[in-house]
Amino acid sequence: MSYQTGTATDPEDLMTQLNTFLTGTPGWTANLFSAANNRAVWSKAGVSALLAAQWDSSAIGMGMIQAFVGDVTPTNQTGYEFTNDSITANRHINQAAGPYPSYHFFEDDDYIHVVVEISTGIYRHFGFGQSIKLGDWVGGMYSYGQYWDQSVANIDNPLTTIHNGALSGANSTNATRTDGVHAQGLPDQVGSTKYLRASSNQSTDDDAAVVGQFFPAGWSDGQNIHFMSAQDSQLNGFKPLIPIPFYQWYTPSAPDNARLMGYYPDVRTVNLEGLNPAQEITVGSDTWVVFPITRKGNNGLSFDQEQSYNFGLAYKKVTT
Amino acid sequence: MAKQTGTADNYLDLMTAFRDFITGVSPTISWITVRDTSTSPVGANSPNTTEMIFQGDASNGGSPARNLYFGIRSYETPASSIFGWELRGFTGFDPGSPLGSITFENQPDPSPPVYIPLQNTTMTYWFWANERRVMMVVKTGTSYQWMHAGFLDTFATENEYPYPLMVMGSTPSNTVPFSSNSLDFSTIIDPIGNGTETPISGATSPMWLRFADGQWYPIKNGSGTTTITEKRQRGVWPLVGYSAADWPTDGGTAAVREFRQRFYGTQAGATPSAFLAQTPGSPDDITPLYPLTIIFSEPSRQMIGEISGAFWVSASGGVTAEDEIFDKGVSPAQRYLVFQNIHRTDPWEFGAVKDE
Repeated sequence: MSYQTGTATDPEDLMTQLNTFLTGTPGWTANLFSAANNRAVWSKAGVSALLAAQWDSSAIGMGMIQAFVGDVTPTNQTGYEFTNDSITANRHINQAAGPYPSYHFFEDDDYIHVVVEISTGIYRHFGFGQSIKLGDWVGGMYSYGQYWDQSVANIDNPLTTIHNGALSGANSTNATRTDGVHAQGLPDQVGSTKYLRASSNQSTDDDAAVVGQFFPAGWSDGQNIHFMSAQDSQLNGFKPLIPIPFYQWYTPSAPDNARLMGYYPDVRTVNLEGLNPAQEITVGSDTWVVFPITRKGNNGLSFDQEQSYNFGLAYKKVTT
Repeated sequence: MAKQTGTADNYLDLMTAFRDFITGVSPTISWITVRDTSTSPVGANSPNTTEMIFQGDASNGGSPARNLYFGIRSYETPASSIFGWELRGFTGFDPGSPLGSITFENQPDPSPPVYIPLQNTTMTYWFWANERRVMMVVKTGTSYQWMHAGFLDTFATENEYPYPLMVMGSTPSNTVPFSSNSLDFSTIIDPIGNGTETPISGATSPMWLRFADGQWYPIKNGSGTTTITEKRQRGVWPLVGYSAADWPTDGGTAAVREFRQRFYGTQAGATPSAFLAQTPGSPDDITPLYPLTIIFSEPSRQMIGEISGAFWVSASGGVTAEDEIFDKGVSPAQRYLVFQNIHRTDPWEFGAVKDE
């Protein structure tokens, strides 16, 4: 039940501030925080797995583990979801050398959502926590980052599937940079599978178990896509803030098998037309803060810099 | 809120059962009959063109808190085994002077007609009513016919959208028998009409909504007879089609996992790209329900409102017509009844009604 905003100089400064924040009022445990080794592990009762973070001078990586071992690399923890300790090959935020003009920590109950302004007007999103689960499958922890491809061909096209993360999409052929969820016991899961990731390809985890596929139906694809296009209501100017569901999406079958697994807490998709980054929207007694996926941009404006049209995310600002 | 299920002897008997139900439910639901020619014919009505016009009072049901009007009129062509009801929405009722001189179709601001094909024999029915709307499902042979009349649950206040009346039958044609398997015989979750958009008055659809500008708009997800062409101007989510042309996100390209792309087949027996299966749960697996939501891409891209108590549901996993789904996340558990879209039995062709 807290929110914090501020500035940070670089990844280490941001992660240090995040660690202080998480272990304060939110009540997360820092099983590990090592500024010397640039890594951390956080956990909290009610969250089905642990989050292992790493950072270097320009990127912050994050993945889930099953148990904490000690001040060792993620692959030496128990049940890491990736097969190697690379930051940039796996889930991370890129182009994040800093200094950051602003950051925002949104937290309540069992999640932390972080928005980082990596340079003026350009944003990255990452976070983790316990999802709002449907059904009795085991798990529920989610972890997301945001990789934004910098090639001239892709940097100004938010809908190319070469970008990954920020709670959306599942058509990337990259199986390791995408969002993930801890899930066990669902149909179509191979026996020892512990994780699903948002990719068109299956992969494996550190235990050589199959990592299945899931689909966060967020800003770029899925059931919310009509609403992402919605303008202000001509009746009252209202703009929809739409919850983000996620689905198990098993492609080896024919046809695919999809199952609604749950929702991400306190984050919504929003069309930013008429809204500014970090603008607050009041809905009843709730306050939501909106951000572009990377940078608010215009139709067809191919200026070879990061832009994400009017695609945006709204985070609930819980302060009491 | 009330519900009744039973059998009627024929399509005319069903009218009186429907009338008796909605005018006889609890005192807080104030539907009354303002015209009824079943017992007292007026004007030029014949026994087989029975008219009933109803007035509701939505003041106990939220916004808008005002009276609402709709009417049903029987029709038949026995040689073609065609029997049914015509349904229209109105903004008021004019009894005429002399009494009955204002015809059914000349009542105040009438909607275009929609039709509910029925039978001249015994049928099982389900009626639901609350202060804002009535719904009906009737089993005709192996098909299920649908009707809705009443206010949409809008994303607007009464001042912003004073009279969101929506009427829905199973077909825009009174020449369709209940047994038709036509591609364009489709409603509720996926209404199909013709492709006419200009003028609006030239369109056909089994679903019409009176918008805030006072005009009746056809709501449909597709058009055609032998093949269905997606229509995306004013449709019913989640099955309404998506294209970047109609739903641009400032230059966005086509999504690939929206519902129509993935869970919908273009013809009976088709294999869609994906099945939406049930989520394992205890004691029961979970069958997700998606609120049927009217969305416009014209004149601007916006969400208009939800069809009260009506949902799209995937029938993957053995769900079939007349099945019950329980939401046990509320106490007492909320029941929903599943029905197919008229003659269709494919997994993407089912709707559910909140059992009130």
